[in-house]
Amino acid sequence: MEIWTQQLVNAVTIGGMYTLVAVGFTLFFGVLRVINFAHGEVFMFGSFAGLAVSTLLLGAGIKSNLVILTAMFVVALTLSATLGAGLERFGFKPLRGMPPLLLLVTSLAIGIIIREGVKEFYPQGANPQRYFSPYANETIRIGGVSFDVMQIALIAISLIAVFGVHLFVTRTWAGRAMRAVSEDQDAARMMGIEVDTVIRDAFLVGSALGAMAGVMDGLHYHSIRFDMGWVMGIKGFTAAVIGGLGNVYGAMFGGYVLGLFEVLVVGWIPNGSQYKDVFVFLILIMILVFRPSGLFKAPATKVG
Amino acid sequence: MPEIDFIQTQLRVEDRRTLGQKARDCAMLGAVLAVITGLFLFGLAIESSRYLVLYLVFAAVLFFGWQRFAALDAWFKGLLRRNKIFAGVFLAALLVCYPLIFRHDAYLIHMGALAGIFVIMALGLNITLGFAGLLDVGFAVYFAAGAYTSAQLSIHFGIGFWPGLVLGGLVAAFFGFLVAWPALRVEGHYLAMVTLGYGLMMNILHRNFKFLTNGTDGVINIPPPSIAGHEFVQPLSLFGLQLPFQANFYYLVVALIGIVVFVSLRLQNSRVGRCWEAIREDEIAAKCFGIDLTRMKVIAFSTGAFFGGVGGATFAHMIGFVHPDNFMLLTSITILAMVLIGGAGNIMGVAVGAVLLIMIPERLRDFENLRLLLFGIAMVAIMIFRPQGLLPNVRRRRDLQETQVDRLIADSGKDDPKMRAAPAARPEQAT
Repeated sequence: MEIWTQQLVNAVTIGGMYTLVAVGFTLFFGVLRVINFAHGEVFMFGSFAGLAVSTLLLGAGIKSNLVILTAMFVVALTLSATLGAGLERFGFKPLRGMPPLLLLVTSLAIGIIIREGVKEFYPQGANPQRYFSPYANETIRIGGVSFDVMQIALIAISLIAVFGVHLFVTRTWAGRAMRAVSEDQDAARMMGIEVDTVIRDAFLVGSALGAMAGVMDGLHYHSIRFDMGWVMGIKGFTAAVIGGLGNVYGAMFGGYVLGLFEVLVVGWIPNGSQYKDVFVFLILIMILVFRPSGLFKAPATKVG
Repeated sequence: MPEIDFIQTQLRVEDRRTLGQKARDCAMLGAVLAVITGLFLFGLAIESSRYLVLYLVFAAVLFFGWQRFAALDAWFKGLLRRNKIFAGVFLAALLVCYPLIFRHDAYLIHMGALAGIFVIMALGLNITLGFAGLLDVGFAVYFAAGAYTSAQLSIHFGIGFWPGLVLGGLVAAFFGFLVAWPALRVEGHYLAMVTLGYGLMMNILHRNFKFLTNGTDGVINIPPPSIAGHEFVQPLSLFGLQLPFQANFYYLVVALIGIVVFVSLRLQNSRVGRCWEAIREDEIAAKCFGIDLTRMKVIAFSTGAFFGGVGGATFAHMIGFVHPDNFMLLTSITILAMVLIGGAGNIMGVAVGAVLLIMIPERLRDFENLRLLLFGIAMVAIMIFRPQGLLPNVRRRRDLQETQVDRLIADSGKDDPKMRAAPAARPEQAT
């Protein structure tokens, strides 16, 4: 019983991170019809930005965990949002209307630049980094099962973020404009929506969410590496595809499903942790081939 | 089909030049090519990374300056077109002489052979991507398939290099066939994701299927090939000159490139090649004309993969060691970059792209850690400023220019006489 509850909590924690990354992919695809391969690296960048903040603040003698955590999230989100908007402005914007191949290779190359940049210019960037880990051994007991405090906090943060995304796309002008653009760019333009602004907003929001997942990843695993962005990028993308690219709620669903799936593979299949990524890639290929518009929705957008 | 007849007549345009004019043309072309070759060989001989950067900037300025003057470019291209045979002989002579020139520098000869292996693989991807327009971001899978197959066959079953080469290619082609099946159902970005996921998945399997690949220990002690009793680890003597043993591999690779280029050219102008071109230009239209999309796409993937496997098999026997790290995503991206930077669809362009992408990073040893960063920056710059590649395929360039943003049309297309002349000239000649 205890083991299964713990596994479920794990699934929700990593599912939350996948969800946040997946929402980014979905937003970018919605407004620009592009798969941003650099998104995983933005996630990694956010994680390192958070680490840098915590190191600086700890060095400055600040003791309050709450202050440090808040500062980590705020700075990481801001920096990554800027990075995301920058890569849209200087990488994708000059290539609008070109064949997808060029956008794809460009985003791959931008990903390499970010990854190598962090590796070279972060102190000791090539080595795994110990992450800031407050509340390390504190647990709370709920219904006879003990949980890691940090893990519960991370779940709460991701759920709040997911709810925030929901509010953003339904209640704010910018979010609704974003949905309008992903529905039909030309019609949205005729309604007086500034498409360029919306695209920029999508990259700001998506990248910030990616960075949030990055900081959470560090807090959860207590260790980060400069090359962790790739796998996360693929998984986030898989999550987005499970729910149907372009569909924000689908991305949320896909993220949690993927988290659960991964935990099940690790728990049930012998040597599962070695092969869990293989299964993720298999799922990705299967869904792209058989259900390219996601698990539960009729094709809303043309695939390709 | 009248279309094909017309193209053949176009190829046999009568050469009305007198012998003297021909000689003058050849001399001029020879002079220009000699200068280019000289610059290239000079660049190879630069050992200091700092001077090499200076040299590269100089070369880039020269290249883009040249392209700026449309008249100069058109003159050179016309010259090249009229003297194809001479240019071919010149290139062949250069390739043969390369180890003779650098006979005291075994490392450079080795690099030449390595670059050649990547030329083979890039030409393979060029078939899938350049000819048929099918994105494949998992090309390292075929590289790995060829390398592991021929390595393990020669170690465990004593099968020699030559059958191993073909078997490696066939196994790789099978892997291409495997991915072609799901790839048939998707296109564009989704196709890229499918092949990319395939590549990542296979790399994990390379690490974990120890009984096939020996896992992360890698396969070691792969025997070198031999031909007619001549072991490839012995020095080679040619024209009375003693060459280091790397020259054996170099000449082997050059011969293989020759075969691959020949096959590519024949394919490009064959019925299959024209079907690929039709699919690349407009899939729906191609289907309406009765082209069997499934068949053609499977052929494209398998043929490209076959050459990838041949490259892999050669690599395994040349280096003597195969490790999963050789086949990571970065390898796939590098091969993709070779094709795109060189100019997808253009055989010469792709070969140049492969040589540049192997030679330049090898020579930038002083910037060891920054090499990948520079690679990324160069890629982004080329995609934005010269999306058609350095030496583009004519038709592909025209397509890109039609869809390009105004800036690019304004700065690269306006003074190209060929672009305007081509549509007008064709009906004239056909009648």
